[in-house]
Amino acid sequence: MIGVFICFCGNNIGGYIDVQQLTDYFNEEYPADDVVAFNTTFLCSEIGQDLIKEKIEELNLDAVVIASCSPKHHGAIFQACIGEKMNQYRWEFANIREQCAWVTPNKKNATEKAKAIISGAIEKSRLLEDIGSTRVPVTKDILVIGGGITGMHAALELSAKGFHVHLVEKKETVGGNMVRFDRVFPTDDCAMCTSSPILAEVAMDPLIDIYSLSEVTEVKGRPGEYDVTVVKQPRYIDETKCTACGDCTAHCPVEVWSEWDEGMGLRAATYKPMAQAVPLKNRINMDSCIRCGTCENVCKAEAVMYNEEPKEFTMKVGAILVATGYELIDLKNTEYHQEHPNVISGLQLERLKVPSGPTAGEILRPSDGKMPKHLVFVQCAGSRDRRYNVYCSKICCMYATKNARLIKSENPDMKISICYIDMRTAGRGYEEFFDKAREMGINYIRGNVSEIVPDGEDLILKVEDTFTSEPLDLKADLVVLSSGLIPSQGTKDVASTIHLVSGADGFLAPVHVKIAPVDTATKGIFIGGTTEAPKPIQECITDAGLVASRIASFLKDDDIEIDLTTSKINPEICIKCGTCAENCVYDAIDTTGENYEVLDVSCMACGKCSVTCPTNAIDLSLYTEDQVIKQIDGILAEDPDSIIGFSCYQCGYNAADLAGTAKSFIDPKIKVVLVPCSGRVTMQHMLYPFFKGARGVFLAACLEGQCHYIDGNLQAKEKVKLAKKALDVMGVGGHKLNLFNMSSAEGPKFVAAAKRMVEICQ
Amino acid sequence: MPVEGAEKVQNEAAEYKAQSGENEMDQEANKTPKVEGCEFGDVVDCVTCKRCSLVCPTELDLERVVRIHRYIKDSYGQVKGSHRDVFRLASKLSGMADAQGWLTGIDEGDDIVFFPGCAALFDLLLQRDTNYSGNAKAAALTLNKLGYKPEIVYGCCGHDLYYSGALDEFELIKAENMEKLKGKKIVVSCAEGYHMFKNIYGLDVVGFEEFVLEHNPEFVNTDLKTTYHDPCRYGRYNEVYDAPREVLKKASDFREMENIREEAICCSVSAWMNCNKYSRDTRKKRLEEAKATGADYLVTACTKCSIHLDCIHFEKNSEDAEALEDIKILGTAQVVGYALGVYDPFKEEVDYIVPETAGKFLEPLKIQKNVDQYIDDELLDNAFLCTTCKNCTIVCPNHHDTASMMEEFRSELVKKDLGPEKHSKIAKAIMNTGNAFGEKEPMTPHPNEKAEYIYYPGCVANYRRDDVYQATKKILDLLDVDYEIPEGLVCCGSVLRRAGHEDEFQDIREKNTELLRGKKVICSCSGCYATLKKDYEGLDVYHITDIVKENIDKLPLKEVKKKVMYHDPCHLGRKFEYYDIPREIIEAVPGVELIAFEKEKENAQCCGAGGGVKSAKPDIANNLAKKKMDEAKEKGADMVVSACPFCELNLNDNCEEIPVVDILNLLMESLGEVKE
Ligand SMILES: Cc1cc2nc3c(=O)[nH]c(=O)nc-3n(C[C@H](O)[C@H](O)[C@H](O)COP(=O)(O)OP(=O)(O)OC[C@H]3O[C@@H](n4cnc5c(N)ncnc54)[C@H](O)[C@@H]3O)c2cc1C
Ligand code: SF4
Ligand code: SF4
Ligand code: SF4
Ligand code: SF4
Repeated sequence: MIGVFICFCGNNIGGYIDVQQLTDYFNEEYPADDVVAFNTTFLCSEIGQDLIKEKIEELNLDAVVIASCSPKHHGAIFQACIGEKMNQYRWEFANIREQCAWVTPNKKNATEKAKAIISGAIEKSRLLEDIGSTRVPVTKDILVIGGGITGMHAALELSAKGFHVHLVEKKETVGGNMVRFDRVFPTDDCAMCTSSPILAEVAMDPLIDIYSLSEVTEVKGRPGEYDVTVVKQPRYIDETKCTACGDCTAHCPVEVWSEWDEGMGLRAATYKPMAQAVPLKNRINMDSCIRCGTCENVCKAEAVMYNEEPKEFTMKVGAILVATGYELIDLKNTEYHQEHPNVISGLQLERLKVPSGPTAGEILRPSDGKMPKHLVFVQCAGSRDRRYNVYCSKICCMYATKNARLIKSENPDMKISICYIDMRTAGRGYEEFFDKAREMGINYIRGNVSEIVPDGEDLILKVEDTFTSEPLDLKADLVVLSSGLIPSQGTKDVASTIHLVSGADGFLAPVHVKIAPVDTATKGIFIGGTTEAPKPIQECITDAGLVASRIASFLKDDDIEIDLTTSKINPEICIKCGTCAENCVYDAIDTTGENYEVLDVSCMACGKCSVTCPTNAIDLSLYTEDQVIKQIDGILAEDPDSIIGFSCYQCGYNAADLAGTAKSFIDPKIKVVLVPCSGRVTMQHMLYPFFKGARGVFLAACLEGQCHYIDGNLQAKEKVKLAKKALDVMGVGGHKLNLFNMSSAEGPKFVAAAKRMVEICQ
Repeated sequence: MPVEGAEKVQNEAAEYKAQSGENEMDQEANKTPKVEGCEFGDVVDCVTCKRCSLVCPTELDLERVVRIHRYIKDSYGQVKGSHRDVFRLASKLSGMADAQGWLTGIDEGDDIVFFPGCAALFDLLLQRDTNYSGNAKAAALTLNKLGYKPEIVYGCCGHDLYYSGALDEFELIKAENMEKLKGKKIVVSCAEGYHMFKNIYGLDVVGFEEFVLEHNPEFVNTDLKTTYHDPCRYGRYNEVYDAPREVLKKASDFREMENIREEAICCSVSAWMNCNKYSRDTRKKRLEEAKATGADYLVTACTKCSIHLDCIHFEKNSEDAEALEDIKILGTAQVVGYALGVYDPFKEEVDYIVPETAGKFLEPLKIQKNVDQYIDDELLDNAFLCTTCKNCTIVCPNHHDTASMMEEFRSELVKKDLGPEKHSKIAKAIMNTGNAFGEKEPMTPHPNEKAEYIYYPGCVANYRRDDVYQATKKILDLLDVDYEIPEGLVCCGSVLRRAGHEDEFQDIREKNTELLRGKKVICSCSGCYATLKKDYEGLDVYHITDIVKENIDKLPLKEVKKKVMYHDPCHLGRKFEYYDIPREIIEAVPGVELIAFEKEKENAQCCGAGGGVKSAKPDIANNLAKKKMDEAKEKGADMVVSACPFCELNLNDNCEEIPVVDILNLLMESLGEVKE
């Protein structure tokens, strides 16, 4: 017996759908006689929940259908309520509010559409099965990739909670970008004074192991137990022997531009980036070493090892934080002419300003080492510009103002201008900080620099002052670009090594921007700091604390519980062809044993693996192949003229809900079928509706590059392409099948897609 | 009677099993219940390849039973093709819509009809990035070269629908095709289409290879090293063995594989029904065979064979894929097209265009399943012929559990009251009296509650073979086995399940299980043994020979100077691979000379009585028994020994000269306790 519970939702559903008629229909006319329907004013209320529980018991229901608001809304409530009386997965929802009542103005049409939606849910619910859970052990060690302020702070927080942390840093030292600055806004305290205690703490913490010059090359395994391979580049100096005395540096004949100083100063072939480096060891950079043998001769500690090889080692960790940070966009050979010696980046200016830096804190222009007379900051260089990055880099207005103030106070005679589109100084104390700058006589020009024209050693900036509408040719002898922030190369590398989702801007995407800002779509892997988006140090620290807390909750027990909504392989028929494993980006299919097996912890239950299995040996436990087919059967039995819209859980479905919340119009022909990922939709799913008379089929998937399961929508795209051709060959017409990409926030795109489908399928 | 070649097939099957350690797989399969669909042997597993027809003692028309059974199961939604059933779906859809032309560059006219089939769809839906449709293209170009401008008729011949039991959908497609094809001469380049048009449609069709031979063209590029795989739709179905070979001999550098013509190993999938690890292994074996010939190309005349044989090549990270990489698959037409210089099989990209079709809206098919229309006397006859001997499973490329499928199919028929009257009578007798013979007396109990063992005598020993009954008891005593026979035992229900009286069987099973659970159960009858062990759940079951073998030293066996032949009961032998223990016991009797039947162990011929055949079709049962006993006579046996009173009953009925006794009788004789 299947119990259908229909909610009036006050007037929210009741006002648009004839709920009583609907209830009567399922009690009296519905073709299957094992269905009973009930209705109530608010199903999510205690009264409603009691009704559900009471009926499950009284009628010994096999499955429950909840016809109410979107499952994204109260799904968890109903699941818990039903879970009290039967397996918590033995229910199916029919979203008759957002996707029916609110998008269908005509009450009669809305009621008819609701019938089809509920019928789909009923038929699907017949195939629901109990889904259990299992516990798997976890390793309590944690990997932090990237030793910037975010990585260091998180490592310290985690060690404070008693966890053992492996901190893997690509450079010679941890510290990241922050330790290369002079002062930091909004307090103007010295960057190194703030960070050196942190560096020292990290260096001394017995629970933190630091691996410098190292990168993660492979991550295998599953949440709670990852096998990580790390490769450490040679230092050519024995870390156990080097005392960082610097004798080698003093004698090294080589002089090249220093990377640490962003090319503002020189270094030898053997060096340490800064006096506070962690680990405090010299390094020979073989790119510049001429193998003269001098350092080997002068080193009293006999630490030089010219023939050192890269080392590879592995570690087991339970969770991973990716804090690989940002870098600045390169604007050489553009209208900004960063290749000109006197056009420098904000970061290069920081190196000039640092008292221990190449110019001992003096602002000397690179071309001739003279103090500039007119220093101009160019804001939004490469940001908020469709040609480069559309986004705002958030911190540039503040750091330009910071440096302008500092320079002005030390050099009151120097003319300093800042060309900006608008000043973005939101944050506590920020606006006051900016206000003070203007008081100090810093010249703010509201106008976007359209071009920087080199004029010998000087530069002419083309800019329109939008207050006076006057085009200006600003002559400057040093230009500082407030260059936009982009994800660091290291961030991109890690994202491809462990398959993380990045947003359209390239920064790594959290599973939910607002309520899960440091979680990724992969359980056990977290992000924080500027890996996620441009942000000031303060926010990096907040992220780090949150990550530490999230990881601590994730690993608090010796094992973690997982619901087995995962895929399953039937070893009896599996021919070990490997296509499933190839489809799975999470390496969740273990192909090493006698039989292929899905690792329940790693499996994200996206279903991509199952779509190309030749033998039908693999299937998801929830949203099974046949459940989806049955749902389509149910819908089309009520309304064969429907257009079936497979919508992915992360985006398409949300967008459809949003269209409802906005009370947009959607043709009642459109019937949404929820799937975990567009990549879960099989060829059969795409073709089957046509066999049952459907007018059209579409997929509403995430934007390209933003699939929450990495590449589900790309796999779907390929499949749709082939299925369209097949439909053409069969004579059905491939144009009736389409894929639309949209983000979870783009209700209007769903509306447009629906409209387009209705037009096509006239 | 079993056809030529059967023996080879059997030997080979045995050899293959031994090599590949498949026995273990088999046992594994017994343990794990099937997931999809049915509780019994899965009806989708048969390839309808007819390989088993070579060994089936009753020569029944299995293909037909399978097809109709699928039809029935389809109505329960229990027939699903591989690849999520998308290909059957595509067939249905192309039937419902107007299939579109996709071949390009062909000089078309109306000299003759060419039917290219579904290859383009396979290329698209398989997502393999392949060019199986190239074969149709090559065939069409060849027709041009031979001077024909063909009319090209697109569509689906319906082969897969037909053989997967989607018979209603097939009829619709057939009607449409008939309209386009009636009265015309058709060339097809695919064995399935050929078979369908010729035999199921009754049209005037000629196979591509034959057509080419008729025209005897001059081949220019004959350098490809080829070998040929017989598709079952050409070979065993239509005896088209020679034409493709002739063509390949002329058009290429041809050599033969080891298993060819009627003995050909099959590609192991048909109608997309049944891909599994057995079929995969068969395909692998076929490719290895092809590779061993030194050919570069395994050529076949069936698009489906091409696709399935090619499958291994698409496995990821697979050693086999790598090892077999260099034996490529081609269609016969591709080789011919190449040899004639009109087609290039090595072109990278797929060579057809997909038209953009407007496509009308499809009305959902209104299908009312009507099983009765397909049930006639012939079908019923075939359905109740099977002795459930499992000979077929041994040679089947897919290990199809035909016997279980038969049982399930029969239960469908019995539900409709179409089972043989004899069976119904027996079922009634069992339900009324608890035994198959309708005897009023209940099974004789032997109270002994503390005993570790239960002896379950079964109907035959209890009511008809007291000698076996007594011998078992005697031997158990001699071996110090403490046993009881609980009160209230009834027939094991073997005959009920085998004959499709499923409801009654469930009843009986429940009754017995209650009495038997928790103790070790000994059976003297192989039928009971198999039923309690395999069709019941949660029992700990032994055959009496298990017990004897363990303690044979305890028996003071004396000389019996006789030539003895051992008959393997199907329900002991093939069902459990239980071949050696009885033989060892027999050989433990001093003086006995054990002579083998020509076909023994997994290839043994059954007594003919199983599966309800003895009661429903006594002639068949008797003939098979006679045949078996004739061999015993010929070989000069003094007695035939078996381990199943039911087999013995039937064999004895059909031979006066030589006694057929139970293995226990032989032991009794050796112990000096002969009872005439
Ligand atoms: C010019 C400038 C001035 C600024 N001034 C201020 C200021 O005054 N106040 C303020 O609040 N913010 C300021 N910011 C912002 C500030 O720099 C960031 O908020 C902060 O440094 C980000 O720290 P992070 O740890 O997230 O990233 P990062 O500092 O970028 O650290 C990332 C670390 O990860 C390492 N890494 C990268 N890839 C890998 C890999 N694959 N494997 C291992 N390690 C890897 C890097 O080497 C680096 O050490 C400024 C930014 C700029 C550009
Ligand atoms: S459901 Fe997704 S995550 Fe799970 S095994 Fe399949 S492809 Fe991998
Ligand atoms: S795709 Fe299917 S048959 Fe192939 S390995 Fe995976 S589960 Fe097995
Ligand atoms: S050999 Fe197997 S697959 Fe072939 S027809 Fe017989 S049972 Fe079917
Ligand atoms: S079980 Fe025996 S009788 Fe039945 S089909 Fe198979 S070979 Fe024939």
